[in-house]
Amino acid sequence: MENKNNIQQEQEEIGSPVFGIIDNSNVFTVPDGYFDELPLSILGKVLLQNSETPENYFEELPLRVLGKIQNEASVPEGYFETLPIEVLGKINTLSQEQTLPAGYFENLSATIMQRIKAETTEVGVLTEMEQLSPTIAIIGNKYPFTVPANYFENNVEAVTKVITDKQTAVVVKMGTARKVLRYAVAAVVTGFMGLGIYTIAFDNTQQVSSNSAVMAKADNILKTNSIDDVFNSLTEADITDYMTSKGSNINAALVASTINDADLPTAEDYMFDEEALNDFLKGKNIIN
Amino acid sequence: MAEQQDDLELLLEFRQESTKERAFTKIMKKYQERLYWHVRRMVGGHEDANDVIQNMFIKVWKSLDNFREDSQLYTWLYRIATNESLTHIEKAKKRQSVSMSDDDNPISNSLKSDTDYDGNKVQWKLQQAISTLPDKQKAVFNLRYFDEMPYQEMSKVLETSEGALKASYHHAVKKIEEFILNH
Repeated sequence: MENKNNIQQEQEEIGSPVFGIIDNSNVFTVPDGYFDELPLSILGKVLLQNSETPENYFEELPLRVLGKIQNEASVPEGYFETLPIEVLGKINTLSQEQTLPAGYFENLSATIMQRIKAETTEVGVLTEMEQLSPTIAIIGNKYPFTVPANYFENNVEAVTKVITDKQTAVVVKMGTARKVLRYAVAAVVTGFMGLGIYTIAFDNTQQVSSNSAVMAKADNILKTNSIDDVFNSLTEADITDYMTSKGSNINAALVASTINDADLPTAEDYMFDEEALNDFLKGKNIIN
Repeated sequence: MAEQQDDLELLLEFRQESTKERAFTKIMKKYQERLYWHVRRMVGGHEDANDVIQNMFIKVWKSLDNFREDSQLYTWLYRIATNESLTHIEKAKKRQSVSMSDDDNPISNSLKSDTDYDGNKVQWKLQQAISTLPDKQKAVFNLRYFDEMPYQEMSKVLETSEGALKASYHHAVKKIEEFILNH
């Protein structure tokens, strides 16, 4: 208060009566509670400033980290000298504690193989089908066909017989006359058109002696595709009778009367491939 | 693996004249049933299957000397059986095309003429559906579904990539399902 009066007196002495009239009371205000919150606000700012990165922090960081690593990576004195003994001790303890099941190593490879198979095997067919089509999966994959009794046993014999017959036949040199017959029979077994070849060939030559003429004639008919025209009028019975009347051609007649059209090879298959013809006729037991 | 080992021994036996026939008989006995059923499912009837399987084994006899162990005997035999079946079906179709009733499926007809055929049974219905598939797709379906052959093996038999086989199999399944549901 004394100071306040001194200041006022000083103003008056300076010679400014205005100041003598206006007192020096504070006209400014602060928000409510400002001074109550001020300490906390200042403290917060101080803490914030302290958390800022110190000067040269990043320059010094690698050195500090290395220092820490070196400190932490240090080992107790004599550590490495005693390490082998400690490790061996632990191994011994473990081997005493862990016993293996009987036959473990004997079964190990099989166990591993089993796992490999399980992991590499494709999804089962039926499981796959359940996902693809439940309708088909319900039907299952058992098929309804049956085979004649003892079929598989007999099949082995049948094939073996064909094979052994074939081997024998290779050794036997067939005469020219039989070659012609074979040609004719092959014509027969191809059906009606083939029979025509046979008939016209023999009608024109009369004798089997002119084999080349017979074969040329047959070839020509086949090449010119004139078989139908020539033999339309013939019936199978006529030809069978004709062949039977020739005596030695009875096998051909038999084939002609019993062979199923569905079994026949095409004319091109046998007429120009002697081996195919051989195979077929042997299969039908026409020749050996 | 054991099967492959057996086959190698059989092939060695086959290459010696004194044991050739015996080895071949063993091979036939070992594989004929599996191959027969594969062929039968392809061609339909027993008589057709019998013809194919016999011709197939005669071809095997002729060419087994030239067989190199690049592939397994098993897949090689399946390949021959499949090719023979496809050839047989082609010939049947050609015959059908010149016969009077060319509007029918020869394999389907062959099924119906089977003595055991019963159109009311779903198993036969399934066979009917399969018979409508294109021939190669039929082979894919049969090998996978009935022979339970892994795609990897099928790839060797049919000389087609595994991816293509899987796609073909999936298409076949859809077609068969559609047939069964609509017939």
